[in-house]
Amino acid sequence: MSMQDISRFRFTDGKPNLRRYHQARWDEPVIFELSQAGERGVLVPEVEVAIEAAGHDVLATLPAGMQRKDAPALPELSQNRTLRHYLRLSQENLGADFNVDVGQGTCTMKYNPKINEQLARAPKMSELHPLQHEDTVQGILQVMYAMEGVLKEVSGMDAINLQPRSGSHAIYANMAIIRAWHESRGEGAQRDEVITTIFSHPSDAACAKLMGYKVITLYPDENGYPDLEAMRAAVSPRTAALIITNPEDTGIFNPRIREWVDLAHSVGALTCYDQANANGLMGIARAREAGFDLCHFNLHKTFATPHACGGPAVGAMCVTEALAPFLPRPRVVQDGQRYRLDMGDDRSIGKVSAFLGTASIVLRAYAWVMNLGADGLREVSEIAVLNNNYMMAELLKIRGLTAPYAEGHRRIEQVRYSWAGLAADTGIHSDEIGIRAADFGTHYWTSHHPYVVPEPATIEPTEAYSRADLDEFVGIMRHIADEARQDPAKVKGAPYNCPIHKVQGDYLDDPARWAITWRAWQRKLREHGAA
Amino acid sequence: MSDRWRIGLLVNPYAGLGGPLALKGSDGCAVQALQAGAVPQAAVRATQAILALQPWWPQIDWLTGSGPLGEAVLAALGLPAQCCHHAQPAGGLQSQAEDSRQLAARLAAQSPDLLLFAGGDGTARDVLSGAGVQQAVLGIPAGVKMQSAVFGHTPQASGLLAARFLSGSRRITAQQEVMDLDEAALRQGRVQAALFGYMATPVDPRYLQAGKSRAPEGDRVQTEAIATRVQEQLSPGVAHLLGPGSTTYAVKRLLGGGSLLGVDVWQDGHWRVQDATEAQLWQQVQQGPCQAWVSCIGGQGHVFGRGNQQFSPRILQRLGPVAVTVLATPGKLQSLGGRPLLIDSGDPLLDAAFAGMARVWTGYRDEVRYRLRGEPPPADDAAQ
Repeated sequence: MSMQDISRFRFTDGKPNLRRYHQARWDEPVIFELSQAGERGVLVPEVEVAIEAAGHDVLATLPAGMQRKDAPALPELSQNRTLRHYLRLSQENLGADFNVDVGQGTCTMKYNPKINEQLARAPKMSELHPLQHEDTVQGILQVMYAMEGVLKEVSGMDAINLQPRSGSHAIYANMAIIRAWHESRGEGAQRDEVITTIFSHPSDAACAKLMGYKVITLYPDENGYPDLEAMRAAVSPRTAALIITNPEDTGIFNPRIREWVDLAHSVGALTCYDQANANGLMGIARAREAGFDLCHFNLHKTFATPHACGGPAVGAMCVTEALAPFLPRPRVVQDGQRYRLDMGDDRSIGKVSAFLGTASIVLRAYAWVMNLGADGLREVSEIAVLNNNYMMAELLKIRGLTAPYAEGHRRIEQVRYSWAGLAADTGIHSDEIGIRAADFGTHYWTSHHPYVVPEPATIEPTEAYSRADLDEFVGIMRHIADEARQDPAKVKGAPYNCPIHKVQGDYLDDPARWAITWRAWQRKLREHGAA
Repeated sequence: MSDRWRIGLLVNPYAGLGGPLALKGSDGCAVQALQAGAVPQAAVRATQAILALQPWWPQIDWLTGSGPLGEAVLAALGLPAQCCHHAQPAGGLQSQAEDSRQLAARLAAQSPDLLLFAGGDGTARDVLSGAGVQQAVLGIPAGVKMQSAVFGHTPQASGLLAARFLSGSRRITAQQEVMDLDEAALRQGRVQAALFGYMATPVDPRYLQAGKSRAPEGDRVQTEAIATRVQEQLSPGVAHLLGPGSTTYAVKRLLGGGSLLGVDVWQDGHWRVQDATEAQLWQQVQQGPCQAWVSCIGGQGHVFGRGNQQFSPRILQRLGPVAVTVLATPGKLQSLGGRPLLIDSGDPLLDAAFAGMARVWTGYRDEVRYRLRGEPPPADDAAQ
């Protein structure tokens, strides 16, 4: 029997075939159910008598009020059972290191290089304590100062602060600066409105609202660009700020952004650029040149660090010189050969995070940018844009899928697509397509607030995926669209290859029926009785 | 909640007959349409919707009317049903509306989990008058015109939406507009639409919830937020003219009363007029400062000229655009699919004066600047 080249069966016309995927199913209990009284992961040897006699009662040194009365109610099980438990759970999952994550558009998933993880977990970083004297943490202070320098270059702004622990946190802190600025000029009460657009990052409106502002939202014009006429109607001496994303969540870049900024400035408002995601812009377009007063970056979206939901993140605030005194404090400053913390003055909005924020994330981002260099950062953006436009050209060959607005124009780093055509023909909805995709080892989510685009899907390939990855994802979408036309019941019945079938969404809206901890669940069982 | 679902099915066998013959509708012309060779489609469309429910058939108990009113469709699919109403004798085509009303009333009397009807706007009106505003109702699009916001996009979509609604634990509905055009006028090239009322309709949950920020009953919450803000902003000494619609009705409820479908006038803590006529409003706007609060029709965008013709051209002229605030939930604006808000006051010059950037309140201290335009000429509508 002769040998066969198995590789050639994996591709058709140079593009990957559909994967014969099946997710693991372990029917794994909650770890508390695995607990056996007295079972231990590590058995610590008894202390030798002589050593015990030489020591003293450590617990007696703790104040009585700080001593636990009961042992913590942790699950008790062996090391290997614990390891198996978590590995099994990880297999019953889709995740950034498992699948082609381009379906998380607006959330911007990119690969987090593992070497940067190792750096951040090395003892030199992980054993630092934030209360150490600044003379003993010069290394990380230098990294933070240098990272601020990088972000100054990328944004064109004059001063940076890395305290906020997520993108929305940075937006909120920027809003606090906007309010403090107007108050410092005696216009705090007069300026009570913030203008944003419907396709800007939803946190922009949310944070402005939380800061006490009335929010005026502008819809796109017929071409999909933010409506400049609406902006003219909205600005007034009551405007505190314009906060806007560009490109918006549609992936369309607003070429008239300078006019927006000038309009806001003409009535005395500040302008804030939401650059949570700057993947398509690094080395190409800067907030400063468009005239903005403030901006922010999510280090996890653009600078390849883990997302906030997967661990504490960093939202970097960037401002002009005039606004620098309002930044959170302390700020890292260079003083000759050493770095120190500067407490600023009363104009600062104060602390927005404990200590200096999440130093280990800054280290990861710093390692990433220093590895790439300035040219490399621009190349990241160019590849992200190229990937996105390649994918758009391929996806739009699928009947029933469109890219609303700005027809015939390219997009920057992502596209908000619409399956409205397919839904009208087949009754298959966008969320059902996303679920069916899980049967092939990928997915997309359908958080596309607001639902202005019908049957939306936002795909964002970033620079992190290869052409084969993109072809695989497009192949899955094409297959599902064909299936919707030929066998819609099959799509509706999905998923078939996943450990859990469908999650009944409205359970999540009913506080009586969910609990986010084991103990909360037990309490609800006691209160409501086991069904 | 029982695992079994009770669905009332109502088919208007004559719905949609007029469309292919360019009759703009089927009211009062079904005989003519049938004689001209029109093929009834309502049963086919109802079947498509019921097929979309196939995975759930074993748990559905069907209630319906005899023969063409629903029983025949279900029987063809092998589905047993309880018959609640017998169609009036054959040949009684004109009695069809009455059949729909009576069947809707009898179905509603049995409190099914959902009343599914196949028809158009006229059928929706009949279902509303028979079943009332409390019964959960969903339309299978089978008519010539479906301006009402109670229909699925396609028959399959209606079936799927029904399944989503019934398998949900909370079964959230929203009061959706029932609209209809005057078909006799339409056939002569004139567009006259009217708002007939509201029905409790399942709203596609994709428009209410998603991963990043779940918003159960999103529109209801937003409506209440708008109403609270309006209540706070009602200035003393000003007559507040509150138009018809579910959004303005939320304000009226907060103020303790008012009509769902009428224009009511509130001033200094009490209702001066309820369900006002044009003449009463005219008198009002001549007496002193006025502020108008109006909503828009979901999916269409009419701010004036549909269901609130009491706001006549002379009244709008007197008020001017500055004294008008539009109230609409974000969901309602988004249902316009990017199309502008519309004004069709009956006076094109006045429409032009109102056109521009309307101020729309969309929540508590949430506003939108949104394009407002005059209607295209009626001839364009009629030619569609």
